[in-house]
Amino acid sequence: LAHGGGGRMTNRLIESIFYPAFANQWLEQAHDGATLPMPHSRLAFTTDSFVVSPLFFPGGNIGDLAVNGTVNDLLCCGATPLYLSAAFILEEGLPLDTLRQVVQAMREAATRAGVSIVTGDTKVVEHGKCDGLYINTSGIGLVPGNIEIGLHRVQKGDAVIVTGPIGNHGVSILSTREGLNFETTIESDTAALTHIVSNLLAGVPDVHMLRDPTRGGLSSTLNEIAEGAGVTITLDEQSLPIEPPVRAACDLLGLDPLYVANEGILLIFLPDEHAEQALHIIRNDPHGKGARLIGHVTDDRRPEVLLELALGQTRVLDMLSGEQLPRIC
Amino acid sequence: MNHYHIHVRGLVQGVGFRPCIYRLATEMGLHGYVENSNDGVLIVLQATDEEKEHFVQALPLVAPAVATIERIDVEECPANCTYDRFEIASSRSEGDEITRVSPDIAICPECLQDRRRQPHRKDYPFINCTHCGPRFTIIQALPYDRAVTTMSDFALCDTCRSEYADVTDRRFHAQPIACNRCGPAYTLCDSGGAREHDYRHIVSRIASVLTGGGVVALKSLGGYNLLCDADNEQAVTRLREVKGRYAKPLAVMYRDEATAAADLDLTDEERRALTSWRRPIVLSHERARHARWLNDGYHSLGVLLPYMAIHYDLFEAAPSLRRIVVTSGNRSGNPIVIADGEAHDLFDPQVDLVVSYNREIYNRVDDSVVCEYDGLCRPVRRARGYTPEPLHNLQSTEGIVAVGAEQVSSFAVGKHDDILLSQYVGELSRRGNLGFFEESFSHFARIFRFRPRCVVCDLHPDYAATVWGERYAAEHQLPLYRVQHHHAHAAAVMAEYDLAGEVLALCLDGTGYGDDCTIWGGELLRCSRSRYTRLSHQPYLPMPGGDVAAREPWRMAVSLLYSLYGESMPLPHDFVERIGADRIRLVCRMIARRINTPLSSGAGRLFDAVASLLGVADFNRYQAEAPQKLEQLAEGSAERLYPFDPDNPLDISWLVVAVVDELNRGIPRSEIAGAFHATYAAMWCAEVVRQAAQQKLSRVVLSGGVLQNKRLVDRLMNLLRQAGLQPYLPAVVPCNDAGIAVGQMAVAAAWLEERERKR
Ligand SMILES: [Fe+3]
Ligand SMILES: [Mg+2]
Ligand SMILES: [Zn+2]
Ligand SMILES: [Zn+2]
Repeated sequence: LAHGGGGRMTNRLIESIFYPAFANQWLEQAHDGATLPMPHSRLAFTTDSFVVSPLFFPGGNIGDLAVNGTVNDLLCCGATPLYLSAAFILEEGLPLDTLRQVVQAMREAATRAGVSIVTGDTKVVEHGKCDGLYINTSGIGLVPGNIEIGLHRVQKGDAVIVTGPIGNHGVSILSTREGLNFETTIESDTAALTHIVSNLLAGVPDVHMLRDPTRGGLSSTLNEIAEGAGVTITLDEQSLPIEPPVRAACDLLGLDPLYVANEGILLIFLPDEHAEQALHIIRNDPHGKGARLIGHVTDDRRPEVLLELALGQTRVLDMLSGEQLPRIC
Repeated sequence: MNHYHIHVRGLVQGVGFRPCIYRLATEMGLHGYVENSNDGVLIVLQATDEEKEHFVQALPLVAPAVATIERIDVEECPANCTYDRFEIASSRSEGDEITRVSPDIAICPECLQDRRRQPHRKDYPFINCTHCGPRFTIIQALPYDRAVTTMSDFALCDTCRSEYADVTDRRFHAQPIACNRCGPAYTLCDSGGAREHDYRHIVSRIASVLTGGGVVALKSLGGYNLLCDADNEQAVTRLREVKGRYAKPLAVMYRDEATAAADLDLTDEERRALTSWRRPIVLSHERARHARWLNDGYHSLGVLLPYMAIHYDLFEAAPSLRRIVVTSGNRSGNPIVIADGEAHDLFDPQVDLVVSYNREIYNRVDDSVVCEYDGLCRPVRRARGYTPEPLHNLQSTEGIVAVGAEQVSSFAVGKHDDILLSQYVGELSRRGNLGFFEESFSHFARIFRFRPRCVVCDLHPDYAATVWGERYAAEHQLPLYRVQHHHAHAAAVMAEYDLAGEVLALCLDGTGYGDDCTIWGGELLRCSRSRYTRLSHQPYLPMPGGDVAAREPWRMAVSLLYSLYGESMPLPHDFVERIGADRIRLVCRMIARRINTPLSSGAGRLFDAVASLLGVADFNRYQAEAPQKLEQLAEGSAERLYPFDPDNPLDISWLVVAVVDELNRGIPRSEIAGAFHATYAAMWCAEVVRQAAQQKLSRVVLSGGVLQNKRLVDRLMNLLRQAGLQPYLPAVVPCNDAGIAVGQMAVAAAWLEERERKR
């Protein structure tokens, strides 16, 4: 098994093992979570496991991630997040204090996001069988009747907005883990974007798609959308929000920020005529200050993601198989 | 009197071969006929045995320069009729068997004469004959006939029609035949939007713009070119801005051979290539250096001679112009522009004149580039004048699509036992080039009536060509095969030289994905077409940052010394000053912690490292800048060898220690560069000789992009020959990644045949 990178290999794993085994119409929505029919309403349901190393990093810890990640997945379904479960796998010898800090962070994050952690589970495994502490969270939310978000809504002409600068989380984790002392400490931007999404859904007439570009970065998430919706997404390189320290770190590490994991940002697809209004709403939130219009759905004949470069060149942003492997001969 | 069937195979159609046969037979007083066949021409000859012998011997001598005769088969057959004259039989409707399409041919001397004496072709710029003119660029389908070329829009006038039908005329069956009355014509459009249709005015307008330091976009055979006076630095700077290409050398067209010879140290072989009908760009050595703005300070310059009538006319109209820059008309990273509308959109706002003509270019081709290695000019970029010449393969290639590599890309399609290699396409991570790839593939499929049976691609999972191939195979429900990069490099050379059995393969390359998930590139393989084993390889070096390490040679310099000395590595002071201690420290950390740091045995990376240590290039602004500058630095240096371990010749630590030691002792860097090249060649030769003895093999194929280093190749070839081995350096297939598709196809063909045999 070598499918960790969140690219094409991961997708192949999901498509060849999980989808066929568990096949049903809700799974096939192929979204961040499933939207389920209920009498008089619709339920959003999602789950995520968190295995980050290190457990603590500038800007947060595994506890924040575990709450914010699942809340954001619910938000991407257009749901109002309500309840979370939390399951812990703990390594023998984990300091109790560490666990307390993590749980404290979860409590605060849940409060901020307006959700309750209502059930849970704990297993302890032998020393060496896990990397300190793993957390799984599942979440339930309700989708208001007038909200319709999904791949089927993405269409030519849609504007693509990102709610904040990209790459911060992935670079923060990497540089902390590897002890790279860059001049500026890069912080993870992990956050639950509840207010951005609720204000957005209340403030603009129509939103077609919401996604959180976590593993595999912006590029992989956009490729999944392009593939699923059968559209061409064209980004403008100059409009991508990348903070200078993140840019500098990526340049040095040889990483493309478009393939670096994010936590506290969302991708939004909506009709171009609402883009200005949406940006205005998003930027009113502290987590949305760096929101940008980064591109458009430009065609509906070919699933691909393109990046327009400064000099009139257009780069194909492919879904990588896994790691960024050298290609230059 | 006997009857003979003489079957001539090769490129003998569309190049005026049949009229030559007709003339020969008529001169010898022989009867019979000649007709086009699927893969050549068939001559039916009524003659005595002696006459027939004479005739067959004379064939290659009378054949047009462009024709290539691959095989002549003679067979006696029953004489059940008598012929009373010699005839050119009209072409029968052909099947989809033909794979011979002529490349485009530079205007011939006879046509240049005809423009002066034929009233209806007075000064006519699109004059052509069976020996010259556009071919591949205008062909849309086979069999080759005017109706399926972009000349179909132009109805023949009576004069042209009668020439076309006259067996004794040089334009007999010349499909693009044209004249002032009936053929294509130029149109000029200036920056004010004014148009001009008179050819002589157009030429003098271009000439005066060029002389005045302006930039012109001119529609050439395979696409638009950008032109300016090569000796005017400001003009060249402006042209570079239009193109968005700031450092990379530009090609220069000289008014004639003599003017070129005054500037360049042309060898006989370079002269032959320069004046050949293919008219490639020839990389040659400058006698004196004065135009840095053309070639980024190299001692070599890419030069070519006029190949269209308008080029000759331009130089005639501008006697003060010695040479002009001729480069593909595009924005860097996009394919050469062929559509008139696109040309106007792109160039109108930026250049002084846009000159087009009203014949459509169907197949896009750039200019080809050749360079002399080991006494022979070999293609570095294979396009105009070469594409789509097929390569013969030992096994059937029918229905194989080979998608090639990534950066210097091309694809190939298989017909019967031919490999049809596409023109050079360019870096596929650019959408424009991927579009070119797809367009050209669909054209090849149409022209050669190609029916795909399987797809073959590189092992690299993320090459755009691999992804394209996977999708294509899935859509057409075809099997997909993956061939290791260097096995493909080696197999390409085996295909070119018809080598069967097993050989040694020395692949000196930049980057290729290995079958063990590391990056390969300095490899000695033992291989057949279907199988390989990796005998030995250059020691692995960390590539801190992956691809970025190939763009930033300084990282490889750090990597090289860190691998040998650790934290206390003796980096030259000027190096540390240029790069900065902080960056060096972080890169060391990346190596130590293996952060985005794959391992590479690539030869190119070692050259990068040494180039940066010697201070010639810390960053590559274009592909292979550092190794090219390292090679140049070595020029004229003494042949000196550093010691190495004869039992383990690939142990580069000796070499690195010697380089670092001499650097610190202040030995001239050019001498170090020279010794590095000589030692590197000697090390590999020692390794090859050692393995050749162990493996009991003596044939060595050489391939990979690093072999574009002349200094290295010439030494390697000599050393290998002196050691009694038989080295094979490709002369038709580029040794860089543009040849990968050929190798992929040869390997796939061998696999298919093995499977067939097992059944
Ligand atoms: Fe290669
Ligand atoms: Mg998630
Ligand atoms: Zn001619
Ligand atoms: Zn005519």
